[in-house]
Amino acid sequence: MITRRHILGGLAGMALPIRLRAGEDGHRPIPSTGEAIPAIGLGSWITFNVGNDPVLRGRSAAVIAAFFEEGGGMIDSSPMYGSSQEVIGDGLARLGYPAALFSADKVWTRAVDGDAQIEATRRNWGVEQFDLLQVHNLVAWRSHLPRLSEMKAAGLVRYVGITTSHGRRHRDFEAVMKAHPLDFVQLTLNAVDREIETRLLPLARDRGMAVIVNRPFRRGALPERLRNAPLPGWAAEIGVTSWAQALIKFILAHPAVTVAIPATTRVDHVRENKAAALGPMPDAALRERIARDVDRAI
Amino acid sequence: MTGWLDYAIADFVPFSAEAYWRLIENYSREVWPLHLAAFALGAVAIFLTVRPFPWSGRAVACLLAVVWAWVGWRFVGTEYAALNWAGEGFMWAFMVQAALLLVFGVIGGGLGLGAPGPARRIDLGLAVAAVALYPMVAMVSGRPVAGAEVFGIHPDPTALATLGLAALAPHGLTAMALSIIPLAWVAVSALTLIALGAPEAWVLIAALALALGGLLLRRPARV
Repeated sequence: MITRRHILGGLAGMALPIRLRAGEDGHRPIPSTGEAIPAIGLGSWITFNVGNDPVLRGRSAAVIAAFFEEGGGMIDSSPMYGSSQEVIGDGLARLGYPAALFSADKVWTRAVDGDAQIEATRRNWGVEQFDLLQVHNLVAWRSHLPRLSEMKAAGLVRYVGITTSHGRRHRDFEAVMKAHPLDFVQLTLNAVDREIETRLLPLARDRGMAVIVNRPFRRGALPERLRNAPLPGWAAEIGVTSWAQALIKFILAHPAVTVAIPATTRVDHVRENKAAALGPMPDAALRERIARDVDRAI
Repeated sequence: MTGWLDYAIADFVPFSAEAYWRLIENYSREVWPLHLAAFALGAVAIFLTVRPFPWSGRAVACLLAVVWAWVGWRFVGTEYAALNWAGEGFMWAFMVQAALLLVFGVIGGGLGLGAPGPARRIDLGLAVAAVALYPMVAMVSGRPVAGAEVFGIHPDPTALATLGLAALAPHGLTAMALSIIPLAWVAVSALTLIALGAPEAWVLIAALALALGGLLLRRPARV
């Protein structure tokens, strides 16, 4: 079996410029337990918030089905995302709740409403319990985080984390990371939003926290703006056939990143995203070049 | 809840333009042909305002109260709330507006035709446009007929027509009290459409400017 260590060792010997694998099957370990999960998850902001529209619900279910055909993994949602939780529950029910599901949701309400919201979220998904519950955007975290930790101790959730996005409240986020034993942190990272690389990603590594990356495409804006730009020569070296895959590899190539959660309404995009977790990954130098090329092209 | 100031407008719009327009179209198909009755109610409200009877002011207020309660419950609370976590709060705002119309419009002095002048022309023009022309915005924007937004069925033309008719109230306090929630809704809706990249937002912004102009230019009517 080819391991990451073998490849890194081999590459060091050959002194080639680029190569680092995410794992031969696109999985990454959760530092706190060693459990491996697929490096590409599925976000749900906007894309799955389709209300009761039967056509759009069917399309969402097809996306979820394709996600599991490609190995499944983390699906992430929030009470802030309208009907997304119910649409995910609908899609999972159609598939009979696949074993490859890693269910992740959040609590996003006043402290006193936390228990009720978590229960409502659980019912929307139709799961017995969540794999991961996170405090959304640090809202009322002083109350919610102890609540989630108690749930974890009682076996009602497997992992606990906190989230932010758009670069918000990083100073507070860092303080919570330093003070609390979190399993996961969720943050924004992409080729143009790289603030977390300076302090938060190294801190997550030091503290043994898994990192979920949201907004890998800036809500679709990056692939859209890169649509007419030709792929540079390095694309073939890392085995990508689209800018979207290059953007994902840019994220996964950071050693602190555990999983990226692009959201989509398209089955072909799910498969394309999943494929980006396989094959060679850019090294640090190529990551910088990707970021420069993206910045130049948009 | 902490951290509200960290959010941008787009963060409060958790749905796509596709999901929103399809919601309006699907809802329109469900409640059709109530559009015809709602359009007739709008026309009656404008007629009673322009050619008033002694009881017209109260009748128009009562009619608008029923419409706000219906749109609030059926569209905002039942349909829109499925896409937006804030939908239930908006529904209650619609119910408060219905109550205000009853209190100020029926129990109070009622609505009216306002004093002659530019404000009356603006307010009446706004109400007529909201009832008669707003349904065409969808078609002009390239959306299907089912996407036509109609007074008494959908919130935006309902709020715009109410702004026009409320601003004509003889008493300034009545006009202001009955304009606050419609103004707020139109502003929220315009911001939502901007976040969705929908050009229809500019129709609402223009109408909002007209409504504010009508309120600022108003003169007390002879009661």
